[in-house]
Amino acid sequence: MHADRRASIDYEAFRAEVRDFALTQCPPELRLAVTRLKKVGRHEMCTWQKILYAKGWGAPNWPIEYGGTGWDLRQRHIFDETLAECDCPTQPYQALRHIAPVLIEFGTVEQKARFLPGIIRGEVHWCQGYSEPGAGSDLASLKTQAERVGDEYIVNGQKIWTTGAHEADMMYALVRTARGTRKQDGITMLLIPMDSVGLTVRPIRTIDGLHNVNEVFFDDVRVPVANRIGEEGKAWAYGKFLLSHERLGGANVAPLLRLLARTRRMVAEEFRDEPGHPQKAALERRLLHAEAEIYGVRALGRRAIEDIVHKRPLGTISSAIKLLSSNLMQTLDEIGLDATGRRVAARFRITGDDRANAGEPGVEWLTNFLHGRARTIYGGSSEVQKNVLARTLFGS
Amino acid sequence: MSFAAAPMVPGDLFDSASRLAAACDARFARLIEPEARAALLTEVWQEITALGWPAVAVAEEAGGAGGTLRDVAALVEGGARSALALPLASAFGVVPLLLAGAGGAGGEVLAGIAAGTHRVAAAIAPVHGTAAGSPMAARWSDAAPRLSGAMIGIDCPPDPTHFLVTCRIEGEAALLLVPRGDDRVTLRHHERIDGRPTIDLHFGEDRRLDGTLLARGEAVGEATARALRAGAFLACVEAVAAMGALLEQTIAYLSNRVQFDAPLASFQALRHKVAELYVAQENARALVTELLDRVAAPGAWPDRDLDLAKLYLGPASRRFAATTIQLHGGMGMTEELPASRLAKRLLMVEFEYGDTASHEARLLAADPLAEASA
Ligand SMILES: Cc1cc2nc3c(=O)[nH]c(=O)nc-3n(C[C@H](O)[C@H](O)[C@H](O)COP(=O)(O)OP(=O)(O)OC[C@H]3O[C@@H](n4cnc5c(N)ncnc54)[C@H](O)[C@@H]3O)c2cc1C
Repeated sequence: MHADRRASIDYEAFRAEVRDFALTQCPPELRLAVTRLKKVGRHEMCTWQKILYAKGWGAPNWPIEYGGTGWDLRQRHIFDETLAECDCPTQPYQALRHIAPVLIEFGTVEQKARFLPGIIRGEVHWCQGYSEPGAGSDLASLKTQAERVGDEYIVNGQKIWTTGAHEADMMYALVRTARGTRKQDGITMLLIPMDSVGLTVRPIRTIDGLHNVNEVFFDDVRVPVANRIGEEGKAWAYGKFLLSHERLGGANVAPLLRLLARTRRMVAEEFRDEPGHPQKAALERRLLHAEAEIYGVRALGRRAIEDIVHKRPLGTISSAIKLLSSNLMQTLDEIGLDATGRRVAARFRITGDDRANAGEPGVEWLTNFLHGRARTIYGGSSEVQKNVLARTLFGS
Repeated sequence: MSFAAAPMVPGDLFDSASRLAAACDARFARLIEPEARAALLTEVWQEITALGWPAVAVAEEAGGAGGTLRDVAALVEGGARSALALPLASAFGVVPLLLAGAGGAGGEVLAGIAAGTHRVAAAIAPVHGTAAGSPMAARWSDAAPRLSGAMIGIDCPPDPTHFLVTCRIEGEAALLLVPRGDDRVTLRHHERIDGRPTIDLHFGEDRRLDGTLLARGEAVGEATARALRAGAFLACVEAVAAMGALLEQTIAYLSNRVQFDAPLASFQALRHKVAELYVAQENARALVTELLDRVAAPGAWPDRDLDLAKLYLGPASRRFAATTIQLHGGMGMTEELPASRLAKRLLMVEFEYGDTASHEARLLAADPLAEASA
């Protein structure tokens, strides 16, 4: 029955339809920002989300009753791949792909009705409050405390590295409501309005010169109990459910292939007047090696999707994909740096009287290199992924 | 042991090749004299012939089983799990593809292969090269080929009966069949680093080889290119199979070896190396598995992707081998260890059917700005 339905879908026609929509409906300035490796924030993500929502394509990964498209997994994959190929900004992923699946799985009827519409319409922007100064890779040692008083929780503590907190309306946060024998117990998930009294956001300037991440302080912040997801003290399971969603993102290699093509063109351009430069040939060879490896990840990603379609356990595949795709992005970032570095490394920021002008052309490759270092740190660092893999490989 | 590599081409052919290779390896490891190893390989080749493997990819009209490259891949994959020191890929995959370009004349040789009377080695560019400074050169003299120089390091079945020589003569592709014992050609024998027999063909100075021309022209050129790609791709299949088996053995070794009062498997530095090996191996496996399907599908082969796969697998195999040798400590240096033979098999991959530099050059010459493929 399932197979019959799939056999009747014309995937190539579907791909063409998505492509046509992306190229005609995604505003050119948004796509140009992606092409030029510019920062993508709330404005870019939410503007695009509103357009997708109007088309009925706001939340392909949701069940139909909440606004999903009813597409099968392959169509969803084609959708993501095609949008990335067209340099569309990502959708507001923290909302759509992280908290929404948790809401749908563990939220109450009332919570779904309250929060899902704002997410799918691109009107309410979300951030993720997990990490703390003392709880990074070891997330379960988080300390931000929530004390129940009547039908409210009083939250005190601090989050850090919160992407987009300065632009967000809501945060989904992990907080401690009890201290048990296992530190994974006693963790609760709360949905916290960012305009709550006692909540302060402080920017963190990162090495790439951008402002994306923040510190968030809670000083007697009152959060209604109605904003708690699932049971008190049981959120470790919900958080892990969410992370498993986050990791398979690497199965979409379209961004890798786009960056590969862009890097290749840049190398050709950068050395246009020195075609015999030995560095040019060396970079072109490195691009070939990266391309071959990307095709491997693409094949692994397709296998992962087949596994999900056929309800086979994914096992170690998502960790392998996360490791590979983050490393490959960094390999390409490095090639970009090696091509432009001689020109731009010493001219990172424009100062003096010219400050209002655009920086050195090509400096975005330097920014991109610095920005991209985070890929092997967040979403479970490379070292943590290897710990996970080794535990499975050695059986302990 | 908690990791077991899943076969890419599961089935009877894979199973029987795995069994045969494992049995051969257990005996091979103990033999010190090259003559003893050669005798064992001859015996195993007879066994293989009795099992009908030489006929697997020979067309039915030539008396073969009419199988595909996938069937050859199954044999090759099974063999490579124990670093079988025999040229399954070349003899059963590359040779039939070469002969397919030689029309009726090729059919006769194929029939001999299928019947087990012919054991043919393929001297196929760029496996040949220079020997002692004399690259092979060829010209026509009254429709007879004249060859100078040598072709070296050719994968060779035990006790070969014929050599297929591919060459370009004045711009035209030609395929020669030289019978063993033809005294116009001098032979030299070697073992590769992984113990496989190889042969050098020395043609001397401008040697006229009347009676050896099997076919010439465009079809020969196309068959040669296809056979070369198939050889490179089957080397990738072997590489993935060897990586899988080597990873299993490395995990088992680290789990059993105790130092500092703890199994080596408890040390994070080593665990991370194993995780990296696993990821490299999974990536290569996914890539090759997908290409197996694409090669088996009707239509043109994905040439560029096949070239890229070989480009990737060569250096990746070398890194894999070097890391696993390191993880075994002193044991990794011993001939006796099965894992060492797998590592040596992997070290060979980079040099088969075009090395890294030649693949890079070919891909860049084709189209340096080529876009990503399907
Ligand atoms: C750009 C960026 C955006 C982020 N966005 C968010 C966000 O929106 N919300 C949020 O909650 N968090 C976010 N994070 C935080 C991210 O999840 C953490 O940085 C990550 O979990 C690592 O924690 P840490 O920074 O404390 O590093 P640590 O855990 O202190 O790690 C330091 C180093 O030690 C290694 N290490 C740690 N433990 C082990 C171990 N057991 N074995 C071997 N090596 C180990 C790590 O891999 C790393 O190399 C973001 C981070 C960055 C950089």
